Amino acid sequence: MAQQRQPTAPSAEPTPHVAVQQQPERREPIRQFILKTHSRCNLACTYCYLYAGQDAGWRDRPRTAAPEVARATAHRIAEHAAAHGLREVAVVLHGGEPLLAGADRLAADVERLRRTVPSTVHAAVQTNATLLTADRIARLRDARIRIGVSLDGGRPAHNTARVDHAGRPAWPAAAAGLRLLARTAPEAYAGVLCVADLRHDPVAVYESLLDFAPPAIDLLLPHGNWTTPPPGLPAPPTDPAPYGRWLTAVFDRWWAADRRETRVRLFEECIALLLGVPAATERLGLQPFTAVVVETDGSIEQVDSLKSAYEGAAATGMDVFHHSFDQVLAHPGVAARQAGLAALGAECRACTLVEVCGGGHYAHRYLAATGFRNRSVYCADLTHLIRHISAHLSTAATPLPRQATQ
Amino acid sequence: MEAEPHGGASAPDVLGLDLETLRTVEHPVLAALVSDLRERVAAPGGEALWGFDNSM
Repeated sequence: MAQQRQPTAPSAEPTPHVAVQQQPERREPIRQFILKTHSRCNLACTYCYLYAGQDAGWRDRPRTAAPEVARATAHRIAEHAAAHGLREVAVVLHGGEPLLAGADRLAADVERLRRTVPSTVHAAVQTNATLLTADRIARLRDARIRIGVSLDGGRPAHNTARVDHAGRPAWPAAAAGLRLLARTAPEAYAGVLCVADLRHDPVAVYESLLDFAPPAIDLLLPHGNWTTPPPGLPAPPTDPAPYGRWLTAVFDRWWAADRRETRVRLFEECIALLLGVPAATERLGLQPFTAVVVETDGSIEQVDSLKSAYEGAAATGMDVFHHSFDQVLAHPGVAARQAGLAALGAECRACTLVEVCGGGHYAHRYLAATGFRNRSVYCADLTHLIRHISAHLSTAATPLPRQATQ
Repeated sequence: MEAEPHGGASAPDVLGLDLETLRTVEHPVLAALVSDLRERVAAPGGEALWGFDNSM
C-alpha cells in the first residue's frame, strides 16, 4: 500500500474552513449544547488536546460559569428551541473536569435548563471519575444526569498517561469512581470513552473495560492532523494503517462474542451508515453536525477538538449575551460542518467510501497550508476499518446454505 | 492522483442490505444492533442529539 501522503497545497483560502453557501432556512438547528462547567481539570493527561495542545485559551477563562452566564445560556437555548420547535435537546456538562464545580451545581444548572427550555432536556456529564463519590453519583442520578467516564482501558498500565498535576496516576481514584458508578447507579451509567493507544494490546484494552460493565464504550482516535500528526503517524509503508488494525482487532473480538457484551459506538455507527441509517457521531458520515460549546465566560465556540489544529480554531467571536444560536449557525466553521459533501476535497468526494467515512473527524483533516479541505490524517486507518466492518457485515448477513436432507 | 488511496478495492457492496432484510439475522451482535437501529429509524432525528464524540 502507498505510504500515507500529505495533501497537496493549492493556493490558500481566506478561511481555513471550506466556504459553503447555505441558505439560512437550510441550516440545521443546534441540538446538542456542550456546557463548560469548569475550565480546569484536576488531571494533566499528557495527551490532552485541550491542556497539552495548541490552544492555551483556557488560561484566560474563569474557572466556573458565573450565574449570569448560566442564566443567559439557558435563555439562549430556550430561544433556539422555541424558534425551531425542537421537542428535544441535549446538554453535555463538560470541562476540564465538570465535577470540580460540584454535583449540586451541575444538578442546579440542569434543573434551571429544564425549567427554562420548552423541550425535553437530555443531560449528561463527562467526567474522569476521580471525583465520583456515592453522594455525588446519587445527586447526579437523581437530577437525571447520565454519567460518562473517560478512561483509556481497564488496567493501570493502560492509563499511565492519565496523571494529576504532580504526575501521580489517576487510576486508583478513577477505577474506584467507575466501579462505584457501575455498582450503585447503573441506570445513570452512560459508558466509557477510551482513546486508542498503539502501545497497548487492543483486545486487552477492550476486555479490561468489560470488567467495569459499561453499557457502551467508544474508541477515539487521538487528535492530530497533517501538520501535527498523532502518535504513530505518518505510518511506515510496512504498516500503513496502524490505528485501523488496532480498531479491527477490537471489532473482531466484539463481533465474535456469543452476545453483544457492550455497545461500541464507533462500530455501531459505521454499520448504521453502511446500512443507510442516520448516524450519531461526528467522525463518520455526511450528516450535519449540530453541537456547539458554551465556555465558562459565555463564549460560544465550536467543539474543543478543533483546538488540536491551531490556537483559536474553535472560536466564533460570539457569546450568549450578545448572540443567538441562529447567528452561530452562520459562522463559516459551523456551516462547513453541516455541509456534508460540499465541505470535502476532491479526493474524498471521489472515494467510494465517502458516504460512510464522511472525510473522518473534521479536526483530523487540518493542514496549515490548506485548512480543513483534506483527507483525514487517518484516511488509511478509516479505509481499513470500514472495509473490514463491511466485509464482516456482508458475511453475517448472508444465510448459511441449507444442508441437503437424506 | 489515485481516485481511491490505499489499495483501490471498494468496500463490499452492502447496499442490498437493509434493516428489513436483516430482521431475522442470526448473528447475535448484529441482531442486537439491528433492533436498536430499527428503533432509531422509527423515531428519526434523535441521532442529531448525540453527534459530539467527546462524551458518552
